Amino acid sequence: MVEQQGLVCTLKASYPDFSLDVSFSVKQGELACIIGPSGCGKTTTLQILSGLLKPDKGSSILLDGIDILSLPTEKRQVALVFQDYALFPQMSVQDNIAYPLKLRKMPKSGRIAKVTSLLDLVSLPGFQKRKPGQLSGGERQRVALARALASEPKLLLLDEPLSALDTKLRRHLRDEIKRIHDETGVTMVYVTHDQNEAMAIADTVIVMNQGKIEQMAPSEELYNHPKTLFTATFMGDGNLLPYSIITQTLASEGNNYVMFRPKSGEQAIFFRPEKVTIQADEKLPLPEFLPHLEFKNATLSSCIFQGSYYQVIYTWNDYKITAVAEKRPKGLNATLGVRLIDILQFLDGRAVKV
Amino acid sequence: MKAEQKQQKGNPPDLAGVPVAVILIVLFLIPLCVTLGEAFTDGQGHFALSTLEKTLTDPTTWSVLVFTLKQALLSTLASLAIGLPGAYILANYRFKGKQIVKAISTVPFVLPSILVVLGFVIFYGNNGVLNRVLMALFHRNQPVFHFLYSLGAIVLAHAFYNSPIIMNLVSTYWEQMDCHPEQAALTLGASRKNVFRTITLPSLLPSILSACTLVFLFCYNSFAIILVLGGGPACTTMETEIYRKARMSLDGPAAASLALLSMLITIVLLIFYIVLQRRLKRHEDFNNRRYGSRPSSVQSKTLIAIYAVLVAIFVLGPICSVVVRSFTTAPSRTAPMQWSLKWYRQLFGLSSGKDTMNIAWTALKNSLFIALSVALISIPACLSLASAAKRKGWLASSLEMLGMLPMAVSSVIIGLGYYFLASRIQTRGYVLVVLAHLVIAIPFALRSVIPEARKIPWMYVAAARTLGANRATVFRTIEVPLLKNSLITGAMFVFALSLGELNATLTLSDSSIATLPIVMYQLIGSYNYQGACALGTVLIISSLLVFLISEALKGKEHG
Repeated sequence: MVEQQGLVCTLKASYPDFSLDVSFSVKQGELACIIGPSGCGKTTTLQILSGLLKPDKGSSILLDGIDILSLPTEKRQVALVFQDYALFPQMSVQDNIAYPLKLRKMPKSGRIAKVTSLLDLVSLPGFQKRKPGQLSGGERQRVALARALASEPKLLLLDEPLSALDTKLRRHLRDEIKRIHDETGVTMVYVTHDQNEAMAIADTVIVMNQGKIEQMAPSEELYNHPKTLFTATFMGDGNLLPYSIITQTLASEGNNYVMFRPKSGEQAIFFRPEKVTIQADEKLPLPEFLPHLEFKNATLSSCIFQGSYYQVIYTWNDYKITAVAEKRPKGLNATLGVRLIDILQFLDGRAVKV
Repeated sequence: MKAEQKQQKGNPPDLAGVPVAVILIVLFLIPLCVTLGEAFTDGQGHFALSTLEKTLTDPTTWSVLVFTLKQALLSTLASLAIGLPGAYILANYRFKGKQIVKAISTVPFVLPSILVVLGFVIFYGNNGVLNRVLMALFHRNQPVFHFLYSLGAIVLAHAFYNSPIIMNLVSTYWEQMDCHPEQAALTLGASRKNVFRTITLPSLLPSILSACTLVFLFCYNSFAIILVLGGGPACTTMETEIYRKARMSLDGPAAASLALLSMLITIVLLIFYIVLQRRLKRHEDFNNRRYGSRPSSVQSKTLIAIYAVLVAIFVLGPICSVVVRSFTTAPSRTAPMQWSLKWYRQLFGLSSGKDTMNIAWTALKNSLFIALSVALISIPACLSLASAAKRKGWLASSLEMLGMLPMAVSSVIIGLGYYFLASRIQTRGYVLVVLAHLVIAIPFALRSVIPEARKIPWMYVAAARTLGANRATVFRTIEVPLLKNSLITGAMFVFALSLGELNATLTLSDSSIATLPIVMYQLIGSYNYQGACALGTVLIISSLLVFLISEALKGKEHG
């Protein structure tokens, strides 16, 4: 068997109100994002990887081919960046970043040079003398990142590092982290609950729910071909309608519904807002010839300005259908169309191949 | 479930503090067991219930107990009456010198009771400052007040001693109480009076009750104040009775059985206190009134000013007059005072002549030696106990309870236990005094260290571990530096308590080891008040010096 560089792990842990059972791998130099709602086991996963929590029997953690499960936290070479930074308040920025260097008995001159280069890397040159209390949230997180990198980890874990920051700063720092990842080439596992953050920086996204992995794939694939309804709704907006309406209502309106094969179980259709075409004049045909699902006589219920686009919500037979428009729609009524190839089908929460 | 809780479940508890805890418990339990053993023996050292029976059936025992409870209750009520307005002002208003007032209000925790007694006699006595001023004002030849040697004197001295404690504890709680419910009540149309009655008072009540219980406990266990200001059989409490039985009537078993009875009562009080403490909510939100408002109306300003002046006169007056009196002398009773170093020269053996006493040097040397030893031993002890008590769980809470135990047993009883012990084994008296002081003082130091240890976020430790530090390195490089200030505060507390400790030392050694408080007690007993004042001033200056040194050692606060 070829030794795989990077992280290969199977983690099992059970607690009174929650159990975790996941298995995934991250290639060396890759940035993987774990994403999921709060309480899904993201943070627990990181804590087990870093050795702060002990998993149950049957778990294994291989890092660059070495089993690190039995090693104590300090010997794993796995650094962890916390949401609330965890900078040591009694130490200056210099001392915080030099902390792992001192532990490795690096001489003082080497430490100073290393701290300087790390501060340059995180765009905080000249911050050596400051105390954590004098820094803003974003600056603290950069220092925490520099400190984690100073320990030269084989694996860098980031636990919702940006969620304590405001939106604009979050975007900026997100791109910085991506840049630092590309410059250092360190393997990263990044936990977040924000799908935009995950999609923007991750090579691979791991969607977790209730202690299990729903899907693990590059973000485009997750967005366009979600394997589960959970992934589909968690990764971005979408319209979810029961399958029954297609057979009942749409059939009577003369829609072409032969592509949908009815099955037993709870079946649903799902499509993204940007896939919906709005035809204000009912008499004109829809602009494309590809087979469409048509929702006739939809009524505009709200139109929300989002800057570069409008989020338009229509009511159709008591269902809400969200679409995206470049301009504010003129009439109240419209026919909404979705290409059949843009429609995803789910049976009991799992994707059905059409 | 939070990650932190999982973490604590997953790993075995930290056992580092256990050996130290065991040593402390042994130091505490051995004298206690010896005392209890003594209570169950007759005069010849055989097991018997006769001593206990005799004590419990003696009507004197019960009248002493009733008097003890009565004076404690009256003292607590008086402390509450004086302390509560202060708590209100401190919690709700912002004014210059507030920090100083708060700092001063913690002084009684460490103020030696013998100093309080002395200040009281000097200030309120027949020939005291207050009477002199009033006599001059009203042109009277006789003292206006006859305070001393009565229940009134005891209650007043206790109130003076303990009202700052009420002020401190209640105002701290009040200050951090969420003020949003009160604001909500105001917006819903309640008047200020109504808000106070229906919202503020109910949430404040546990803290008032808890502070009162503590003060009651202190007054119950009060010793020097009763011994000197009580002045006779009419004003005898359990503690002074234990001391008299043990050291004057030399009836060990009788003293021990009284101690047993007294201890049972204080344990009940302590349990009540602990239950109340548990009910006090910890405030972590930021809706508190920490910044307060400046007093706005002329009326409130005047009231605050009057209260401040009265408190300054009646609380600081006695202590200041001790210092002032030590530097003055009067050639005759009616002649005006003159500045003089006479008492210091006398005590330190610097003056020639028949009234030279060399006792001050010895006392200072003994006191500093004992207090420094106790303070230095307490630092590693507190550190290991605090790190063990930091984690939640049965081990931590039982350790914390055990740390509180010495509060249930008065220092007189601890002294008594070590006295019985000393009569059985051949140990140097100093060692026993140091051990007794250690047992008495460490719970107070822990009160400063354990909350700080609990405040250290778990993630600091976790972060250091992921950066490559092992458990011991994390402790040395992260936890100890973060606890440094509270450890210094704790050691300072221990030093001050040990320096002023009279009760246990007197019961244990009966003045064979001359410490500053013991010599002061002897000087007061022989009506050499100025000499006692001089030694009292030496005590105050030593404490102040150590306080200043410890403040200088402290680093800046973080966060």
